[in-house]
Amino acid sequence: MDQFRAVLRELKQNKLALLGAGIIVLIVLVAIFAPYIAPHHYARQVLPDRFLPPSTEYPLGTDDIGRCIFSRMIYGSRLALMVGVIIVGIQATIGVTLGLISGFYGRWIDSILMRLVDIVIAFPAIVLALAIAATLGPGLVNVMIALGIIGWTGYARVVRGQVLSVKENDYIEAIRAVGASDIRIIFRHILPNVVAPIIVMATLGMAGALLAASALSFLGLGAQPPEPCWGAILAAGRGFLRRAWWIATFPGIAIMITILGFNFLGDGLRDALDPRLKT
Amino acid sequence: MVPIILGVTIVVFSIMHLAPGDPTAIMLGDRATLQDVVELRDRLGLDDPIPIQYLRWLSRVVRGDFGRSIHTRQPVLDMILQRLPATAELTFTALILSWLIALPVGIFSAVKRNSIADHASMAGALFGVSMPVFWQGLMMILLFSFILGWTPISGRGNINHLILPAITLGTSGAALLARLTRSSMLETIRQDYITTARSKGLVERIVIVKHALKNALIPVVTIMALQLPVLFGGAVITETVFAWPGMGRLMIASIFNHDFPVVQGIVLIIAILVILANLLADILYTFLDPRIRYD
Repeated sequence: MDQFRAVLRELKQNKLALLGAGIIVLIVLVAIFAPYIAPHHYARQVLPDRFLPPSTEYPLGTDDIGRCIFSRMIYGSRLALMVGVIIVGIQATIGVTLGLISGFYGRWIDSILMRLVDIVIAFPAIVLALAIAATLGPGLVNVMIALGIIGWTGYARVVRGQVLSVKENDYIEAIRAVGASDIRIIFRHILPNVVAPIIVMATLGMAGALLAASALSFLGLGAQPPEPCWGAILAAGRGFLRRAWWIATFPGIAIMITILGFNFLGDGLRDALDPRLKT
Repeated sequence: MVPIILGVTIVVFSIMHLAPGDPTAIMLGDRATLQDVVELRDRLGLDDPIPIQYLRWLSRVVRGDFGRSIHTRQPVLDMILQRLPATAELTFTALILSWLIALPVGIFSAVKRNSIADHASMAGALFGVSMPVFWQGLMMILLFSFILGWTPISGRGNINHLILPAITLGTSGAALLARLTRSSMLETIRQDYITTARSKGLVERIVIVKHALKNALIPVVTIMALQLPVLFGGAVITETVFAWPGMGRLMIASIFNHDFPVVQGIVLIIAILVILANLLADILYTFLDPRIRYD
């Protein structure tokens, strides 16, 4: 609890981290209140209103079938956050579990798991995710699965490293001596000690997940029409760049601001939780 | 390294078998008859046990036979080798650009720590890391091709064609590298031997360039090698945005044509290139820091 307060105090002094947190809160609010904020439904098509530039009726203009870009982006924030959280959730669950096992049991289990990490990081994440998403078929669910089962290596490495140092502590030896099971030692006594780096990685991981997921959507493997995914809206605007620049421009800004938010907060959290890493 | 390459081949092979249902059905499309499916399964040996199929595939791959494209019937390796120079041209230019930008910016930021220039370049770096490659590419086309008319929109040809894709691909790497160079330089400048060098009365430029830089660059070199996977990933996207005729664009086209042997071949070759780059980084590492020796 004391550590939590200290971190919060440190964060309050970091302007960029506060800005990041502010951006994230704003996007969460937009996602929650999307139906109240969006002037139109995301799928509403008004064909006579095709390719309209930004105006009071359509704040960010309309696309090739007369849909309001602003409304689609507002609803798109829901997809963006959901996709990010699910991808990071899958990555962290796999990575933390394997990292705990690897660090705690050591020996051959550790060797095998760390070789597995070496193998997975030999692939550029987006290339491997593309191949997996292509085999599974297009769609957001498959994109989340593909990115989820690839991006866990960082968590595994960091957690393993932490476990290796935590498990040498005398109190772990003492708990073992009173007969605690491995599972209990791992989850009750080791895991709480490695939570800090996991939080930092997950925050920065949200940025990476959003970037990767929107890239896959841009390439046509993610969200399928009429889902209002930012990457897909942007991709649809690609063919009309000269005629209607606003279709591709605004979703990109939304993606960038969201990613900046998570990067700012993640950097701030890292500095607050681990002052040694402060730059 | 060999176990990792073997592991990589297992992963690449397995991706083909991840597909729900019969891979031949995907390859042949909706209009295939039962006989077509049976023939293709037989030809590909899909009814054999998986380990046997893997070993057969591996023995062919080792001999450079990556199979044939379902779409064009050409040998996969030939198709990849045709596209490799374009991808190499793009990634190397991007890599060099990112170093040219990142190293001076990172060093300058560290030396002038907490100055306005430092804050501005680090804010710029954060923007660079956070900007989606595909969006940046489109915005550059919008500005430099459509509005200013300075560069061609897409394709490969002379330096004018290369400049936008290379900047697009190099930006995020440059941003990451600038941040790392800065923190590594800061770490080094604090060391005792730098204070000694200064107290000997050496000119600041000599202290920075001759004493600090070489040690500060050691972690940066590792990151440069680790950058390669990111660059290859970015190349797939950049090539798509700029219609650059490289491996990445071939991969995307093959994905939409359900041309799995080509996708498989590209993923494998990229992974092997990344492993080789890591090896190169290890070698460079010992060159830069003689204290490190690999036995």
